[in-house]
Order: sequence, then structure tokens, then C-alpha cells
Amino acid sequence: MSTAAPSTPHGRRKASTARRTLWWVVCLAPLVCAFVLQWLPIFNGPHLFLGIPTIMWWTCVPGSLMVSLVLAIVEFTRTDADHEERLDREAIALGEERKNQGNAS
Amino acid sequence: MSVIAWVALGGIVVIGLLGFLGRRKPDLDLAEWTVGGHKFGVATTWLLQAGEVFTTFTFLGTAGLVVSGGAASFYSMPYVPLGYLALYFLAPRIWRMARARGHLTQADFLEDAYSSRAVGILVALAGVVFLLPYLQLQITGLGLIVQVVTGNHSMGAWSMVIAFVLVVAFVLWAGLRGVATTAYFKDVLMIVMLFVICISVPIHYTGGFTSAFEVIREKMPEMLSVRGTSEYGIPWYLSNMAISAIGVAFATMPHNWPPIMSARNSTVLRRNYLWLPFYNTLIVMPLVVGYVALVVLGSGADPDSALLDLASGVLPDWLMGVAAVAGIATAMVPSASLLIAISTLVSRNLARARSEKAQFTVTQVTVVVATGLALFLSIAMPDLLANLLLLTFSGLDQLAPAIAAALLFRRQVGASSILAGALVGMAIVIGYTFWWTLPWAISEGIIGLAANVVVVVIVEIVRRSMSGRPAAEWPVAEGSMAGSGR
Repeated sequence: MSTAAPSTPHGRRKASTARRTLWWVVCLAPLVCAFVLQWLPIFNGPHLFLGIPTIMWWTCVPGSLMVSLVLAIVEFTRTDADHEERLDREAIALGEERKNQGNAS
Repeated sequence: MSVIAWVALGGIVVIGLLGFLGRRKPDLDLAEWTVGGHKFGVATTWLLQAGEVFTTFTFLGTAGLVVSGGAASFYSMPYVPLGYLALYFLAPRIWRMARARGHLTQADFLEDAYSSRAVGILVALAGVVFLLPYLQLQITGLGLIVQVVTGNHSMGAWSMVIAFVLVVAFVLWAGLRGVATTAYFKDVLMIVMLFVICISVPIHYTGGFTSAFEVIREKMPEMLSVRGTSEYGIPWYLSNMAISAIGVAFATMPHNWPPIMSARNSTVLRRNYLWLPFYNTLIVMPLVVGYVALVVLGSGADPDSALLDLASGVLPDWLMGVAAVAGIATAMVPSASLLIAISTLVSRNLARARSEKAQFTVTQVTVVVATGLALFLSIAMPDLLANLLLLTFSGLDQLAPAIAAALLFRRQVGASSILAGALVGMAIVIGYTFWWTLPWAISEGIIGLAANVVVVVIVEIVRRSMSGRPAAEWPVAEGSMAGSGR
């Protein structure tokens, strides 16, 4: 019989460094777009696209919709959900303990 | 009294009554009153957080900013979602620390993180001093809305008094739960009226919003892009977007903390930040109306009343009254949040009442005093705090390094380094706001923040080299809360 410790079930670990790096890269996309696009004349000029100023498109798309998309990618590819829940439960337990101690004293 | 005035007054009373529905009995527990006992789910925390974005500025200021600055006003759209990008990762840490260690205010958190009462007092003082003019702005905005739609100055003043007596009453009774119930009403009404105004105003005045943009392209093409280095130029645009996004990302405004702490768990917060950027795109509607105002009223129009001036030419009186109620709600609901933040900072971090009962009493008294003061100043001396308001956002952004270091660094940064940085940053912001000339119209907040960070780094290096021992560990970066209470 193997004496090795059982491996941590998927989802109970902290996110790996590689996954965190991937999140960083994905999350930087809307940030870079928001700060770079106005340097490109095609996006920052007196132009209309589908009847709406181009500036309205590129502030709306990377500034709002792309942020939701990026965060959706992060949220739905998380492998540390159980780890996060465990931390939440720990925090709640500590909070309750602290409150009970305060009430008792 | 006109139909508009009756509807507006009726709306104020309805908002006040909804606030009372937040609780059946008055709150007597400070944690329950301030953060709803940490029990709010996705919908309620969503509305509380969205409520901070959609204030009187959305109704009056956004369209006005287009009239003043053209395309540069679009900085107001991406900064909130960019801030959420960071808050998605940071807010769960804030929530856990607050839940485990009993924090109810931003100052509680920072005082605990740096084991320094001086940090707690500075943060609380900055919060109270900078939020009071912001509260006054909401009151003045409410009065302006009623005055514009009714055309009656005294009606504006009376509406301010009635509305804020009701705000004080429901905040004292129900705390954050009262804010939550009014937030439901406010957001539904605001969205409906934004759609009504955004569709009817362009069709009535220019035959549709694309026609308005065509006219702008022909007659004022400079209003469709961000150019140059003067005011409303590229440096202005980028620096204002950056400093505003940093403010959201690190929750530098004290009234942003109760909605985070009120969540049931961290998943609620993460899911909210995931979808709130979609909601934020609604800001595009007052921006469109701002361009119609440019065509119809010209660039010399009064920016603050542009949206309501146009709407009053299109909507029937009763519907104009409803639009006014939506605007009034965007003042009353955020004001209630501001009052909760100001009063808890005073009771817990400035007055430092020992027992919870005494803290609660000081909190309640502060709600009444702060509202009375802001109301008096709005009516009697509306310009007195105007200069202070200029400092609200850039000044509070100087707390970002302190919050960032507490959330992101495993080794504790010294309180002396944080204090030195924040004081230098605030001094620079004050200097550039009142006396010095800004290079390329860059936001004074960014310049202050850069100096702030440099000072923190230098003082920290000196402090560590002099003390000769590593800084203590702060458990937040690891996610563990089991450290001893400091």
C-alpha cells in the first residue's frame, strides 16, 4: 500500500503560478487597449463608425465589454474555488469567535 | 404647485419610505447597521456597488462634461471597469480581513494593517474632510434638479431640506439595509428614464443621435477626438482615467468599503465585478445626450443643466417629474452611503468610543450633525467647500499606496513610511490644486501619487536599514487570517 500523502483534490489548491501568469496576461489586454488606442489616428479622429464616433466604440468595447469577457475567462477557468471557499469559512469562523469573545468580556 | 413639483415631492417621500422598509425594527447593532451583518447576496451588493457609480454626476455631470470637453469626457466610461479588473482580485482579500478581524471602516483596516493608531486617525480624518464636500455636492445637485425642472428657486431649497430629513431618518432607522432597498428603486427608475431621455431627446431635436453626430462632424470635428496637451487633451484624458481607475481599484473612497464588507462571501463580490462593467456601459446614454446638447444649445450652454433643459422640451410634465425623481434618487441614495461612511469613521476611528453602545450613539449623532452641516452649507454658503471638493478624489487617491501595500505585500511596510508618503502626496495635490500650474494639464492626483510612492520607498529603505530587522508579516497576502490581532 502506498504511504504517500493523498494528492490535493482538484480545486482545493491555490492557483498555480502558471495560471496566475496567464490571468495577468489576459487582464492586461483591456488595460493596454484603454491606454494605447488613443494614440492611433484611426481610433482617435473625427470619424464615425456605424454613425457613432469611433472614440465611443473603443472606450466602450475595451473599457467595459472586454473587461467582463476577460474576468469571465478568469472566473470560469479557476481551479481554486474550493480553496477560496475554505478561506471564506475560516474568516467567518474567526470573526464569529472574535465577536463571541467580545460579548463574553 | 405644478404637476412636476408634486411628482418630484411625491418621489422624495416614496424614496424615504422605501428606506424605512429596510428593517422592521431600528438597528441597534453597529455591524448590522453599517454592513448589514455581512449577509448581503449578489443582487443587493450589486446595487450598492452600482449605486456608487451612478450618482448625480451621471444625470447632470456626464452630459455637461461633453458640452465642456467633447470626446475627452469619454474617460468617464472605462475607468470604473478597469478598476473592477483589480477589485475582482483584491475585494475578496478585503472582505476576508474585515470579516475575520471585525473591521467596519477603511480606517479600521489600515490601522490594523500597519498596527498604527496614527494611520487610522489620518485615514479617518481625510475621509471625513474629503467626503463632507462630496455629500454637499449631492445635496446641491438635488436642489439644482428640482430648481431646473420646476423653474422655482425656493422649491429647490425646500426639496433639499425635505429629502435630507428623510435620508437622515431612514439611515438612522435601517442603516445599510435602508440604502439597499432604496437602491433597487433608484436603479430601476434611473435606467428607465435614461432610456426614455436618450431615445426621445435625439429624435425630437436632431432626428436621431446619428444625425447629431453627423452635425458635430461637420461643424465641430474637434469634439469627436482627444487632441493636444492643453485641458481636455491626451495627457489630461490619460491621467484622469488612470487616477480614477486607481481610486476604484484600491477602493480609496471610504464609502466604497461597506458594500464590499456587506457581502455574504467573496464569491458574491467576484461575480459582481464580472458583470458590473456591462452595467457601466449605460453611461454612454448621457454622453449621447451631451452631444445633442452641443448641437442644440452650443458649447456655451450651462453644462450642469444641459440634460434636463433638453428633456424638459420633449417630455410631458408628469414624465419630467418622474425624470426629476430619478435624478433625486441618484442624490439621496449615494448620500445615505456617504453618511454611513462618515459617521462610522468618526465613531470608531476619531472619537474612539470604547463600548459598542457608545460607538453606536456617536454614529447616530454624527449622521444628524454631518447632514445638518452639509445642508446648511448647501443653502447658506454653497461655495464654501467648493475648493475642498476639488481635493476629494485626488486627495483620497493618496491612500492607494497604503491600501496596495497592505493587500499585496507579505512583509509589513512601516507606518512611518506610509504616513510620510500620504502626507507628501496630499500636500502636492493641495499645492497643484490651488497655487501651481499643472504640466500638460496632467491630473494633480497622478503627480501626488508618484511623489507618494517615491517617498514611501525611500523612507522604508531608511527605516529597514536603521532598525536592522525584517518587517513583521501581515497575513493578508497569504490569505490566512490566523495572525494575532494587532
